[in-house]
Amino acid sequence: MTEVYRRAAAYSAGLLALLAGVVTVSAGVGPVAVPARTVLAVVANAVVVPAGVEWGTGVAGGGGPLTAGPPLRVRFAHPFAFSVSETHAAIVMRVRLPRILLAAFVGVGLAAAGTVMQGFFRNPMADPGVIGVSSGAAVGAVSWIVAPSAVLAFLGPLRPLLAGGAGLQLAAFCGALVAGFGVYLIASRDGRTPVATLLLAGVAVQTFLGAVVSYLLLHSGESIRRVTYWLMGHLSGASWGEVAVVAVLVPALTLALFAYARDLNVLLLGETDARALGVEAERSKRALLAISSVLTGTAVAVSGVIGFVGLIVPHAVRLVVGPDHRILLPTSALAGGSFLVVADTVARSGVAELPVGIVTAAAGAPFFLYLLRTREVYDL
Amino acid sequence: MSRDRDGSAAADGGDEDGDAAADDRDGSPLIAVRDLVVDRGGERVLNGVSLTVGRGELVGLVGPNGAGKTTLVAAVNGTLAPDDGTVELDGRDRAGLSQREVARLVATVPQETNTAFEFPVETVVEMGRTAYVSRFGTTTAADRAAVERAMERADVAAFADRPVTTLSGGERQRVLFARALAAETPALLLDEPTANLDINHQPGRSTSCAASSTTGRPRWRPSTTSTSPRACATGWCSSPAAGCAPPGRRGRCWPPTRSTPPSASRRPSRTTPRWGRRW
Repeated sequence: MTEVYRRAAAYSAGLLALLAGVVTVSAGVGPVAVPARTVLAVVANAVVVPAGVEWGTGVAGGGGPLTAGPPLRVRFAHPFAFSVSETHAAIVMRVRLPRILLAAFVGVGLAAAGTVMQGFFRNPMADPGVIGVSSGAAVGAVSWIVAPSAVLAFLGPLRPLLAGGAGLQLAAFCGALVAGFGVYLIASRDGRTPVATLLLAGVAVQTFLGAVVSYLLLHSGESIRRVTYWLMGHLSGASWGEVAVVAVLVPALTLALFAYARDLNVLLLGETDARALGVEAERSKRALLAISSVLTGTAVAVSGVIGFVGLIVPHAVRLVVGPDHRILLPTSALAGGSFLVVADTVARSGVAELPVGIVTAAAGAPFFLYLLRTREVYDL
Repeated sequence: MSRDRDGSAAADGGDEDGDAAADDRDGSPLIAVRDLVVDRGGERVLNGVSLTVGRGELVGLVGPNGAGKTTLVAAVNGTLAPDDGTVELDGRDRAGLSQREVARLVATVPQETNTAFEFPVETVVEMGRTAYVSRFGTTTAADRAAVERAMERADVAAFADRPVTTLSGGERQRVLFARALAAETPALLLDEPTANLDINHQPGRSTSCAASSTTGRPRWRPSTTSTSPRACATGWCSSPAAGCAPPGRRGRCWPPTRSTPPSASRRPSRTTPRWGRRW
């Protein structure tokens, strides 16, 4: 019904506004308080618009190599020039905003993937890592920290990509995909992937990979602190490069999941029913698994294993908007973004900085219990 | 689906019996099952079943528990791949049709479904239109009209906004019936459709089936096992002539050549748990 999409759009617009507000306020919070108006001014100053096109006529100066491309150069201009202090501008643009935006996108990705996994498995305890993706990422990341040379042997063909210092993220991402795909293969037989088998295979593989991580931890020596920090989930040290990657991947993958929202609704009724209603169940399941695994892998690769966002946010939102994924998926994704930004703001503004995973768990669980006690819960 | 074929082969709990004057309309029967064999959990549940159902026919299937009625429904609507034999829908081999195409020919009211989710009734009925909505599209006015009609006919419009979880078993079953009607398919399969219905709605259900049949000939007749207008309800009678032929029509039984209920020998001891294979 278009009515459903109207509701989805209204909720999403509201939550998007909330997310923008939360990001703005969060950028002002910290050891140096920056007024929200200054934050907005700094962001506006950073806006560039293409102001014109120049045809390069001569040789590029400075004795650089001649470029082979067309001598076309786009000129950019800053339309806004509010006066703000250099310090404030630097704090907001270089320190806080990358981290906050990373939190927002990671939160969106984890909440979207968690929503899909809970619906897919018809299991309230499912989270984005249920098919072993997070554990795989952990093994990848921890191995990189403990023994980068060993990982390099595996990542050989990807070596050019490592130049930018993204080895940790890449190792985690590859670990995530290998684990997810492995679980899928283990659980599939004769072209069918029963959900129950997938869930159990995921639990088994998670346990096994947990053992691998524990073993690596024992032998991590000096780097144990870094490993623990990564495993708890953190967003410190975010770079604009990471933000750029997630800003492209997370919205694209979330929209792809949204295209399967209707199938996911029908799958909730059971696979036999879904097939009888015209859904190619196995194909839809494959697509949902693949997309949400890549989404989770992306989020975990840049932020470590941040628990509870993908578990609690979808539940909380479902209690409010109901189980229809056409509404639930976008709203819970956007709510996840706001939730993680707030949690990370708390994590970094205490006396000592905490890994954000501790904050999400400590704050999310009581809130969730409150919802459980005050709302009637049927299933999922 | 094309509206001009709104005639339905409605089947209670399965669906069979061949015959049909209506077949001649465009040559091929709506549902044609040939030598169907299905094994489940190591047991042969269906063994060489053949039957045809023409347009506008309303056919009932009765049989003891475990006789394979539901299995036959699953084989026809494409949720189960047969081990041998063919199913043709509207003259085309089902194996060559996508699940979406099958769902535009055959709608099913399942015996039971997972309705533990708080979907409003209207959303559940709308799921009957799944096969008509494209992945990136949304429901059209035609879809919404079909949903409205289905809810009226199944008598669920009064609680269209209530979550299905709050309905009684019988109300829920009417919702599933509405969901199947919403697909507006030429064929409608109903698996144990009256199990939870109160006496007031049993005739109602059958009337709706009859109304969706172009021939409109079938008359409802009370029966403890089936609301089929033809109490012969096919199949298991040993003598096809006895009570199987509705007035003025040629009757045929499924399986046509058998003289004893095929289920009798088919369901021996339950040594293997039936769900054993699925995990």
